[in-house]
Amino acid sequence: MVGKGIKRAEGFFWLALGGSICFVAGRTGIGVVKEPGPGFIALAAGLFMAGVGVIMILAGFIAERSVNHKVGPGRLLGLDSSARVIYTLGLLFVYAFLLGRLGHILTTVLVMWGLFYDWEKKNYAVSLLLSVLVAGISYLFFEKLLMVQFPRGIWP
Amino acid sequence: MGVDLFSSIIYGFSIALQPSNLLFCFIGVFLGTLVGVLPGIGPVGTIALLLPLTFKLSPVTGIIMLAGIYYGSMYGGSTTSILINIPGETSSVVTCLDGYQMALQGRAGPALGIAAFGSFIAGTIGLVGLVLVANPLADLAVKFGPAEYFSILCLGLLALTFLSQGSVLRGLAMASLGIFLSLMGQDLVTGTIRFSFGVSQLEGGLDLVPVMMGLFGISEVLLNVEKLRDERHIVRTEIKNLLPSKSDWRQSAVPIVRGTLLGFLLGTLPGGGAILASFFSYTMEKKFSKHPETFGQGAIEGVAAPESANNSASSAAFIPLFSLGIPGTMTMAILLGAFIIHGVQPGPLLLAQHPEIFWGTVASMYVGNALLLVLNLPLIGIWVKLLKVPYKTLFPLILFFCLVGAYSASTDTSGVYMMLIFGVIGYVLRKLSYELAPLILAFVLGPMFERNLRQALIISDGSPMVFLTHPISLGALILCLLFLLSAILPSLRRKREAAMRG
Repeated sequence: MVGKGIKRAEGFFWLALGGSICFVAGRTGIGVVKEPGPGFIALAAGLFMAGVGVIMILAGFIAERSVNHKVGPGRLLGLDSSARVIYTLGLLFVYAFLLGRLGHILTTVLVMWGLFYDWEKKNYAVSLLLSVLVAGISYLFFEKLLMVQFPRGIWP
Repeated sequence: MGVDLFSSIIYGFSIALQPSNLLFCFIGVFLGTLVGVLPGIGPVGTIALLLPLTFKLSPVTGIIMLAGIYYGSMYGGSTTSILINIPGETSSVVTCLDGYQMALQGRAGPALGIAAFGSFIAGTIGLVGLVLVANPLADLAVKFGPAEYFSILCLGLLALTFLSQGSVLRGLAMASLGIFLSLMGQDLVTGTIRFSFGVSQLEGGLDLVPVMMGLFGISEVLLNVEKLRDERHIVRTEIKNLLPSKSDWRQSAVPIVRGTLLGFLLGTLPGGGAILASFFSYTMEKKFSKHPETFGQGAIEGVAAPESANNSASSAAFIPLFSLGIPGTMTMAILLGAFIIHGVQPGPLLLAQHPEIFWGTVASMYVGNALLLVLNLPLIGIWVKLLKVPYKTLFPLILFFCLVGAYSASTDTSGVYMMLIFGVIGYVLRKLSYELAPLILAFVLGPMFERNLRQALIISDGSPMVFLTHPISLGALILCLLFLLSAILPSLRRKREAAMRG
């Protein structure tokens, strides 16, 4: 039953997204067939997507239960192993947030320290050393060699 | 014709052998082998990752490097398949079956050797085919109008969706999402800003680089981060006799030729590419073999054929891109993006407008194949050592390259945020078994798709019959219809899914 439920939920998602795309496409202006407007292709894409959604919903109603489908949404999303993923993603967003404020070097050291940090070995010193190394090399390679202009942040 | 072709090839080599091009060709194939060897990041992610670095290079040098990454990864992928039973690339999955068994039997050397030689031979033949086919196809494509292009684009997109693993319905949904995402920003006909939802950063449209880096680089790392505790077991065997024996050659020669030809044919098809080629060639060899029971037990033909097929297919995959401007695979879609970023439009006019890029890239692929042979055989010890680098050390570096790449492409943190958002989207989609190939191909082809459809309708005064009265367009649309029907009809769908499972 879960498999059918997922298929139907997917179908409703694509139906809703397709419908929304049709709506915004209509507001942008679809023009006429003789002279298609800026929303014309988006409308077609939205209708197609909504159609796929409808087929998925119907398939969900008639689908037979199979071994592959006997998994819940939690298993599909791998929630049991998500802590490290969330931690990693969090650090990446922190990088984007701090880059303009602290500058490239300091942000790189902080974020890479967190990324290199091994949860099992608790290697504070080694991970800090590695992060400083990466920041230094990236400064020389990107800023000095390739002339990429990074935000200077708190540095003058 | 013969003299012209010969002088064009010489011209290509004169470009490919320029010191800077040779250097970046080497960097490309080296990085390609590296990412092929290291499970965890593929050629698509790497090309997306390194694309910003090519901005400072000339178009021909940049393309030579990116192409080198692509076919280099085909070579490198076999090493991990043979030594640790983990394919570095999807196209090397079948190489695991016999390659790893050969390694367990103490024959890792001949397995690696025949994979490298087979790849070299196939790559070389594939390039000859590329030169012979791309030119006439480009001449034919000059006569194509918007109706033909629109229908061929539809066919390419549907074929890729159909031939990708996973559900076709999901693939179709992803393709339509890709088309929509590609439309964000300014409409080139009317100048209207569309689908920006009030976000100023979206008014210029979604940049290809952060989208690809997010979908492939970030999502791939996040998926691997979940499995950090997994350890790789490298076969403890001395790697010797890399040069295959006479007996090995006798067994492998015909499979290499068959794999090359099949790979070339499948590589030219939209949605074909190296993955299908390697799977089909393995199946074909098993059927042709007098001893099919040895397959899966360490048969050298089971390594030679798929490795030749995937390399030949990777050369052939350039044909639709160079001659029609239509990428048949995901990697080619990203290369198309790279061409456009460098101000070059691949297609029928590429040869006339940028002969240095066409011939230079083709010649560099031959040079690159020779470099790969040098890299793969004597340096195999280094690649084996690299396999021992823990992923815990690698993934922060990959992520850092993504962050720096996204920033340098946009010189703004908005590019970084965009990449991260698409990273999350890609991660969730891949966890839910959605294939990203249709989305990215549709995203890259979207503007061409729209331009050709609108032009065709304007020229025909709004008559949709324009797509049915042109024979090539009609043929492509009939094939599209067949693909769509096969996705909907349950019996056809089940057959396809069974074929995909092998």
